[in-house]
Formats: sequence, structure tokens, C-alpha cells
Amino acid sequence: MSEKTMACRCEDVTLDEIERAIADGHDDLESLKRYTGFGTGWCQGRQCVTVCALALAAKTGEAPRAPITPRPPAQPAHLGALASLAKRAPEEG
Amino acid sequence: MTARRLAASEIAKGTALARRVAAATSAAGVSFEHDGERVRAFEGEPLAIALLAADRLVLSRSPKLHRPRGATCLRGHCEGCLVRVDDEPNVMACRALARGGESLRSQNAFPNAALDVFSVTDWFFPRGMDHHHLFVGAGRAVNETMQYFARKMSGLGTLPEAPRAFAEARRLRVDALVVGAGASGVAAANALCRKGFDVALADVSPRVGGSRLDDPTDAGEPDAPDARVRLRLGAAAVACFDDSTLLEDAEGVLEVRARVRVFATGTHDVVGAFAGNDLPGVLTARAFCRALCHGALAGERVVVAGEGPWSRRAREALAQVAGARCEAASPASLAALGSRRVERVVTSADGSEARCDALVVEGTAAASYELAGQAGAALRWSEARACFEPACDDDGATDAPGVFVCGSLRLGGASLEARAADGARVGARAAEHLAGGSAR
Repeated sequence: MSEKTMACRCEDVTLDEIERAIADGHDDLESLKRYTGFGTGWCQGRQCVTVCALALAAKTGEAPRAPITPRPPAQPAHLGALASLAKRAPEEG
Repeated sequence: MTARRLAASEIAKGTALARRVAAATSAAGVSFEHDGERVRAFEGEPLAIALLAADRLVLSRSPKLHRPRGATCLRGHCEGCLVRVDDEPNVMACRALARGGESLRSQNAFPNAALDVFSVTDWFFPRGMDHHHLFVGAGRAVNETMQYFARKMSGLGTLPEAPRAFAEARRLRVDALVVGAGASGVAAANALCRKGFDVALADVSPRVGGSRLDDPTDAGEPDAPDARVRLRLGAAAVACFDDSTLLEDAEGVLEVRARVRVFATGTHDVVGAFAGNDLPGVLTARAFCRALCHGALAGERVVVAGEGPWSRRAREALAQVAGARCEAASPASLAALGSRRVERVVTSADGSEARCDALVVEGTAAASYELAGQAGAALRWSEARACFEPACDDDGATDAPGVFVCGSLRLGGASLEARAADGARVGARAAEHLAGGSAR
């Protein structure tokens, strides 16, 4: 059962799904992300943006234009810790 | 047992690897539980490395297809080692350090990740789970029922039983913040500090040194930051807003406001696209080297795919381990096969097949551009590096005022000396910016 090639591990998106989505006209990374969900999981694209950009370049013959927008959090954070920003300690330094 | 803990007697005497392993295994022995089995570790060792040394490779299941997953990058850049530790879900076992007495449980699997009955899902969807077309034509009731089950069976763990209390957010204002305490980040922080600026230096790792700490062929001491630099170790940079950067450490959030930010965030190790690329036992070359530095051998029979700095180090270090066998494969035409872990590697170009316990992959070293991008740096595709990278000038200045990048983030696989020199150069340019001597 390991014959699948995973493009995005976090969201279980196969390379086959990415290639079908490109064939359906999703020929930029942002649109590809919104359609397949790649890059929306735990790692937020660390692994899959490169894999999908290369798949896209191979299909379209063009260099990828832009990655998916890097948004906070850059890595997983506790919402409780972020909520503590509401009551701030005095500034040090 | 295939992955295992190395004995000191198995490593060639006097080598860098022998020194690294001796240092890593000098801590007290502790133990923790993983799905009911006792696992031995050294105090302060990453839990995922102790699990690897105990040959416990399957740590989690993928969210939809329930495919077996394990630690792949060993540095917090993938989802493979997510486990519940005591009452906390979704802990990256590669970043959590063993204290002893913890209880680790696998998530979203029944009865556990190693024997998950829901793995039948993977067989049921041979081309992947396309939610745009999944049971859409079968009528609304069937579609809604399937959605209900799909949502029940996917996801990441369950909430803690009791809410956790977090400390009040701390705030710090400095002239410059450097993110990443590897060779280039330390050099940049020192260059700024020696010009008289107040500098904070943050890294998610508990130690200064960055990639050098994972090198089994170099046991040298990393350069230390100047004593005046405000060092924040074990602090992950999670977000950039305006001039503020949020760090999260064991206590909670630290908001750092800085006029200048230097990103020395290095690279992510990308495992390329090949069949079975997510099987437990498939490791990045850097992960394999990191585990080896802790005395954990990921497999007796190792296939190394790809050429690069980490696969060279992996081969060189393996040659110093008695009985370890190493074969080469091309990453271009690879397939990893096995039921719950990699057992065989097939090279489709020539049909050759090798039995193995671990597949070590040197993939793309993709620039860790996320934070620099959030801070406003423009991002561009690099044909030479085959990844996106922040756009910058020769001195590491990006288009965003006060945002600089240095080290392997902008240089890719440069030598330690080149990265340190780059950090010093970019740090000096950032100091000029602070002194008002630059247009940017």
C-alpha cells in the first residue's frame, strides 16, 4: 500500500492529485493549494511547496512565479500562549 | 531489531563520531512509555531519537488515509513524529527532550499507530482522497454521512483534559533581532553587538551551533555569541508583524520589537517525490546524521539516495560504524516499498532492488523563507537551488527596510566558513542600516 507518491504528507495529497489538478487548469501554486489543500497542514508547506512547484514547472515548462503566501504562525504555536499577548508585561530592554 | 543504539565499541576510536556519541550519551539514563512499552533514553535526548534507537519507527498515522508515519526530518519540519505526551496533544517528539517518566501515546489510530485498523482507508482510495468528488454523485444523504465519518476519523489528536496556564507575554525592545543561532546567525549577532548595538539572538534549539551540531564528521565547538548578546534558546520564532517578532518558548510568548531583523533560518530538508516517500524509515540525510550523533543508528542496511553535504557525511560516518552496510541509489527513479516501514528500495531506471532498514535521502535544501517573507522580503524562485528564496542584494539586504537574510537561507549548501563570513558581512551591513548609513 506504499506505492503512492505523497506530494503533501500533512494533508495526504498525492502527486497524482496534484497532477490531475494542474491538468484541470490550476496552474499556479495558490490556486493549486486552494483546490487540493496541499500546504495547509501541520508543516504549512515546508516540504510540499518545493515538491508542488517542481511538479508545476515540469507540467507547464515555466518557472514557478510565487510560493503560497507565508502566513503566521511560521511554526505551530499554542493558542493559549498567543492569547496571553492580550495582557502584556512591561517592556524590558 | 534493525534500528538500534550503538555501543561505543562499535565506533572507530578517536573519530568525530565517537566524540559526538560520547558527549550525547554521558547524560543520566531515564525511561518513558510509548503505547504501553518502556523506552530507554538519555536525559535531554529528543524523544524521537530515543524511539528510533528502540526501533519504534511508526509513531503516527496520516490524517486522512491513515498511512503509517514516522520521524523523517528530526528537526520540527514535518508531521511524522506527532504524539500525545502526557496530557498534551501534537507534541513533536523530535523537539521534546526526555526528562523521564513521560507517557507517549499515538493519536488518531486504533488501537495504536503501529496497528491502525483504519489503515484500510489507504487501500480504499488508491489515487488519494479527492474531496471535490468524494461521494458527490451519490446523493446528499450519502455525501453528508461520508463527510461525518471522514471528519470523525481525520484530524490531529484530542484536546487536553485540563486547560494549560500560560505566563503573561513578555516584551523586549532591542536594536536588532537575529533569528537562527547557527554559524551565520552567531556571526551576524556578534558583528552587530561589536558595533555597540543591543542584540537578541533566538533559536528553537536548546544549543547554539545550528547545523554543525548534527554533523557526525565534525566534533568541533561552534562559535559562541558575545556575552552581551541576549540569547534566547529553545525559543521558536512563530510570527512577524510590523517591527515585532513573536517567539514561543517553554514559558510562553516573548514579543521582540527590533529596528533591524536578520534571518539566519537556514533550510528545510525536502524529501523528493518518489513512490513510498512517506514510509517510516525514510529519513532525510541530515536527520540520519543527527540521530547518529546521538548514537542512534537508523538501520544496519542503509540505502543513501542523492549527492550533497549530508549524504556525504552520512556515508563517511557509516564507514566508522562496525557492521553497518551502505548502498547508493539515484533519487530520480526511486521507489520505497514495505508494509509499515521501508523494507526494499527499487531503482526503476535499471530495475535493481536492495533490501534495507533505512532509506536516507538528500533532497532539496529549501530556503526557510517563511519568516523573512512575513517580515516583507520579496520571494523568488531560484532555478539553481530548485526552491523559493528571499530576494536580496550582495549584502543580504532585502527590499523590506531593516530586513536582512544570511547564511544557508540565501546561500544554500555553503561551507561553515562561508556561512560564518556571510553572517559577519550581513551583520555589518545591518549595523550600517542602524547607524543610518544606508538607504535601506
